[in-house]
Amino acid sequence: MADDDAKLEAALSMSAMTDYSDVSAIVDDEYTADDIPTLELNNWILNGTKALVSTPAALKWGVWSSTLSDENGDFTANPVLTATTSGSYSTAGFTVTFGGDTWPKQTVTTWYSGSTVLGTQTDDVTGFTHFISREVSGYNKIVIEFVGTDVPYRRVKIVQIDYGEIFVWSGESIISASVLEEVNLTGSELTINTLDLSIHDENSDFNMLNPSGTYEYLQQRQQLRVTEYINGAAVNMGRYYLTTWKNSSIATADFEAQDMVGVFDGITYTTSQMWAGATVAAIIADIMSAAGFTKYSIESSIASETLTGYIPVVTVREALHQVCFAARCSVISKRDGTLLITRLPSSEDANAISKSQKMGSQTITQNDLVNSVAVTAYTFAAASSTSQLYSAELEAGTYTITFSTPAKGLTISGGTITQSGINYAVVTVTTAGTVTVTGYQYSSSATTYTVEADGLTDAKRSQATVDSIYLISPANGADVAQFVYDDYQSRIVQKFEIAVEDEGIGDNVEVETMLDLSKTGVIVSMDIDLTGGFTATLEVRG
Amino acid sequence: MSLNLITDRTESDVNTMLSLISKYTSGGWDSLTTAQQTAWLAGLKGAYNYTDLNRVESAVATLAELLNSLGYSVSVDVKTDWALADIPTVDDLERYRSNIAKIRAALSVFSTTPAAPDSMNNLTYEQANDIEQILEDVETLIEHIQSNIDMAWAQGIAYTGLFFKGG
Repeated sequence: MADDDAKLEAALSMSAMTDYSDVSAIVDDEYTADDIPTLELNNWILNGTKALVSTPAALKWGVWSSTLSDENGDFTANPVLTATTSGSYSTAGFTVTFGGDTWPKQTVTTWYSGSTVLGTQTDDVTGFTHFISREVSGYNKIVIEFVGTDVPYRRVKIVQIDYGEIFVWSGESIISASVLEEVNLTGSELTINTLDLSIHDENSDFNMLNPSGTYEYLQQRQQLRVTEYINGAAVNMGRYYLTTWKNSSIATADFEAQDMVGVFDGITYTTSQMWAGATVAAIIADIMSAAGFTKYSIESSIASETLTGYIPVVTVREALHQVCFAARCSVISKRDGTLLITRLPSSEDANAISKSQKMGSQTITQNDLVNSVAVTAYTFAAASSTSQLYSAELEAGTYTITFSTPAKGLTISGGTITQSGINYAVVTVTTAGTVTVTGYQYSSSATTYTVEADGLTDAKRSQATVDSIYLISPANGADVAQFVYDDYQSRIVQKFEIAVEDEGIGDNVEVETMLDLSKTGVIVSMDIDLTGGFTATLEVRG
Repeated sequence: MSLNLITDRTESDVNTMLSLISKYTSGGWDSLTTAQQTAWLAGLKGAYNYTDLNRVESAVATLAELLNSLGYSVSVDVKTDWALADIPTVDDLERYRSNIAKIRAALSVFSTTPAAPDSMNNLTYEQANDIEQILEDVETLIEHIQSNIDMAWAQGIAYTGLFFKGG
């Protein structure tokens, strides 16, 4: 568990790095450095395991010092890592993970607030995972000097840095752990995967009443990495970000966490343009940029599709949902921490789930009938004259103003616009007074596309409507309406428990049912019990 | 001529290496005995070090020069200044490996002479031995050739001497 807020936004630099070092990689919690043969003394062991460097830039190096220690393990000049954050942070320390076959002799760490030294500490390093324990509040820069190496003639190799201490819970220390993974087939909702974890907290580290515990340093968005061991083999079950925690007994700590989509729910997206035929890839790139998230992929056929319209000021989660709905695709939050934007089912092929795989009973339900879908498409045009978008008395300072209706051609009186888009303006006011922003507002005209069952009468019409996605235009309105209508016709939901093998949400499966008949559908939900033998309750809709 | 080649690396050398790594990666450098530290600092046979590369590259250069002086045509590209801080790449070591193959191909080698490795990737102690065994065998063959030339020269002198003596 670590403080990922600080981790995500820290700017790192290191003195005397090797050419291929990637400082940004060491804050990537999925990062594992490759085992690369070097000519450091006795490093290239002749047991046939050392693969040579072919394309150096493609390898995962972490951060390596460019210089080696001498025969006594000392450097002429110790490597120094500097991490600077834009905000101030308070942590109980942080953890540095070293690669290669050794570690530095010591670290000398200095915490700063601006140029003020908040503290300096020297720690002996005794292993690959090194926790620098010190409670420091309000720092925005850390400088770590790596003193020598334990083994002579070695570089310092840093694989990872985590703000905070890494706690590992396994085996009997875990009371219960379950993961809920979901996907929505039409993108009508961007689902959030969740983790519920309950641990034996024997040392009361996470007891809120323990004055020396680490409870104080629990923070939302701290990361929990989940690994399930099946017959000794590690299976990555995803990464989650802490949302709530509590003590249900004196020695029990309970944590609830969400996946990255949940994190997106707390980030605002403002920078939409009034797109005209922009690719899905370009729009999603703009949204992800707001979240500083790059670990996503888009199915190529979807990436090149184009959309017209805009996204209002919403959360990143909602913005992504609006793009996916308009592009008729779904988001799968994968266990490796990446997001896959795809259209489901991704394959006509269906993996079979036999009755023998199923544990206990199966329930089959039918979703409510929807026999008509009405989708509103919009066309936007800017007004020919300006109107007032904002007016208020403001003190000197910098403000972000958001608009309820998109506008272009912004002008301001009483301040200066330093940054703007159709949804917002960042204004700087040097002298208190009235600030007025004007611009050309966009107005919309609407067209409704309806798809419904043949011969439907008003009395029997059960209609679903979609009227608040402004990336649906006349260019894609009919396609979206048909896609949503088709999806509503998949009404059968099978629910059953299985021992998990390689199933995942979004998979197309053919399930052997209670009547020895098979029913094909897509896995839309997996409620996985990680402590009960790696079983999952599946929901398959088809 | 002595190229001081190493052809006797064993699995035991590799196991010794692994044992020391296991020891210092769990207990640190100070968990090694003084003797183990001294041996480690001298360079272990279970590992491929810059000294191995320099020794082989120098031997290749020497043998290529000798072969060329004997009328064979061998073109090699060598680097004899490998250092602790270097990180050899696939290209570097393909050049290194192909030099060995060229030296081996220059002569009709012994039936026991090993083949040159196909790749330096995932190098084993056996392959490291093979590389230097090839060079050692070629060194031996060159010595035989030089010896035969000397013998022929001596025989020529002797024959000429006899001729003149007889004349």
